[in-house]
Amino acid sequence: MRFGVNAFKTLAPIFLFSPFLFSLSSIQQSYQVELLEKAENLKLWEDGYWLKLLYYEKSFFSSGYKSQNINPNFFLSKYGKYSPRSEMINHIIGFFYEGDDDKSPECSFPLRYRWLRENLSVKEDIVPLRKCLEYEGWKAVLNPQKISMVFANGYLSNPSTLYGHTFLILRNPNNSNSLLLDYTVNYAATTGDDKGLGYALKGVFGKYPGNFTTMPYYLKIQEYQNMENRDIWEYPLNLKEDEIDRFLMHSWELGKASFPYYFFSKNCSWQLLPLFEILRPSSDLKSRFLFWNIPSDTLKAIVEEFGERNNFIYRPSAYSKLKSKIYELNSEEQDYSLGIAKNSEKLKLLDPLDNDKKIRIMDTAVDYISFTHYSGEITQDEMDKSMDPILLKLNDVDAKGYVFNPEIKTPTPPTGSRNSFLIGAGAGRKNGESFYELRLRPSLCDMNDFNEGYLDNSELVMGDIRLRYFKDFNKVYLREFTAVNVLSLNPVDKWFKKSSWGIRFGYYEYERNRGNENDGFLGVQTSRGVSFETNIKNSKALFFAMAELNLDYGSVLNENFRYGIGPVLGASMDFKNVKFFSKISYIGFKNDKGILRKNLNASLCSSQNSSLVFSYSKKGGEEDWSVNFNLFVFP
Amino acid sequence: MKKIIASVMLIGLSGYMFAADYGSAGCGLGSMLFKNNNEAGPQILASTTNGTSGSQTFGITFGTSNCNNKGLIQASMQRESYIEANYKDIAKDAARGNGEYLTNLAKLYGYENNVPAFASLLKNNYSKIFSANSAKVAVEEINKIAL
Repeated sequence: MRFGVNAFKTLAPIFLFSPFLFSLSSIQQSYQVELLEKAENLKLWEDGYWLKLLYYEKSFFSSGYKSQNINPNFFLSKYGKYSPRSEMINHIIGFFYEGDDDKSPECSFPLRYRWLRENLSVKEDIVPLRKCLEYEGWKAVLNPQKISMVFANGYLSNPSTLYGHTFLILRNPNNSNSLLLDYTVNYAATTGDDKGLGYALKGVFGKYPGNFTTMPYYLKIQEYQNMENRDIWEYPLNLKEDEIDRFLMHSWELGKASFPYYFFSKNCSWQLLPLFEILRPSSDLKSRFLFWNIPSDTLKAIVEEFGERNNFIYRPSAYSKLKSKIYELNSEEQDYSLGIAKNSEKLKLLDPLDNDKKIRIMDTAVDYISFTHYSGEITQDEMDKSMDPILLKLNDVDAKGYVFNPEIKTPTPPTGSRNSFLIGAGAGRKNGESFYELRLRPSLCDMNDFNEGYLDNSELVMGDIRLRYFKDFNKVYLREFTAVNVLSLNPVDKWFKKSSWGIRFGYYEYERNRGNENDGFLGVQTSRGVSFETNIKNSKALFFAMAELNLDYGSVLNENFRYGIGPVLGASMDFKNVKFFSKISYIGFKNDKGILRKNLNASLCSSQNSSLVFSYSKKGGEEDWSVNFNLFVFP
Repeated sequence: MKKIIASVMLIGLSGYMFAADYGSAGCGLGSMLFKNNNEAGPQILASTTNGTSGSQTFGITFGTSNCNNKGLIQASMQRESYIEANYKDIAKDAARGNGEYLTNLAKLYGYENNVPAFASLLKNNYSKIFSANSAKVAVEEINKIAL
């Protein structure tokens, strides 16, 4: 009776404080002991699925376990956080809970109990199944026959969204023509009102609790598609009926769970992985994401296992829709449309036009007004004031069946993008000395990459390291380490007037090193300006002009510090499989001589997951050219 | 020059976040996260803005704050919640006479098999429904003509 004694130790408080136990029939009492012993003999709490259901991980420092969940409601045992065994004992005792079924542990944790019933072959005549009316009612409302994985792209001018977001939609067949009414399941951090640096640090170090929530899809659509201008991609998953069942049961349990939310690793996207491993026990997803997690990679992993890469529904953002409408208007119609959007008095000018024209012009104008509101240019009141008269007039036009809904070309989906992790190797010469170069960049894109499926006209880099080995000096140098680099080039035209901007932080080699010196400094560069775009047939050219500010710190610098400002001009040209990106800047420094930097890159797309980049740069006295072969791998 | 420096500096100092995504409260998933409606309200209103996305906030006051204790929109508040959350988009679709927001609303009023009839109801009563620019008025007016 090894178990009996041990169990009693753990259970003593429960026996003392749970008088209901003593009202159990003697059959039930002895069956309870039987189940406890059975679990003990099987060491059932060490089963991988039980550990998954309660989010246990092998503790790093001891031989024990620790659950990632930080919400006590998710456990039945006071020691649940650290003891899968104690948790299981309390669940077995919970089988005999006397009281309202809906309040019973079994109805609170339906999936755990179903698993326990199977694995302990629990006799239903002694422990009858509970009638979980609340759970059943909830399930009936959600009624998912299918589940879709959703990816909301990042949006260029909103840095917090750049990596994208993932969540799930529960497809209720009753809403087959009203998809917005379906519910979503979403994992997010509850951040409160913190802002700025404190917010970032808390996010990085997991100080915010993350919770699962449900909300109607239309709220997500408002948030992502309309307010934040993010394209949305829905991937229907091929789940079997019992997998959907497990998903629902476990989701019900997750209502009581919270996890520490880490922006980079255990973020919105990561937390979906254990959920999927629970609904399909044979799948192994978590082990693919040990250190960081890019939502588009999670999407790829999940879609690979549960869906199909090319089976998706594309929902263009409000911005993409607006652009497609503008594209349909001729130049005169565009002027009318912009005119009435800025001043509704001009509506009179539309009177002589034919109805289809009027509809096109007004329809585009109202979407444009919403867009300017959501991008913070006008207030809600201003929006109402300028939009309402147009809507009234639009309402009065007899459309005679005319629908203005231009087709939008589906861009490359996120699942069609190249892999995220760049590994590069190359060779070159710096001031006449030859070197070999190795480059590692975990995320995600810069202007030299082929970025279909990621964000256009932008750079988003976190951690980019270049090491160089000089043969003649037989030495390895750190050429450059970019901790963060975000560049957002927003082409300006008569409709859109967003500025372009960039920020970069890292360690860089000093431009005036001589010979085998390789001193460097820590530097921040920020820039702001404008860009323009032209499209000619299949190629695209983008030009930008910005002001750049540099703040540099390092012992190689005079008084360890310098700062300066100056202009940057750049151009990018994109012809399907060849790309050019060049930049020239002059920064006038306080504490140092001004520096002219020239940079010219040509990239060849050699396959979806590889590219060849030729670079030439001249900074101050340093002249540098190199050829690099880049391979993109799944992290 | 000072102004340029200031504006360039601003980029660096305004606390850009590079996080994936966060924010977005909803109804708590499953039961017991929010024990009753009163607890659910402030939680939802607290963080619907998705962190740094800017000044917009969701104007949901009588919609999602009426989550039931299972994390769902209360059955009796379905229409209100939908109309409030999508007010401007519904107004646009109503004026256009077509669109997804309209189709979904039609479903909530039991017109899923006769969307064109619902569309013309809204079109013919457009100014009554939408001129007050109030979700509440819109709900009342649509209820009058469509229920």
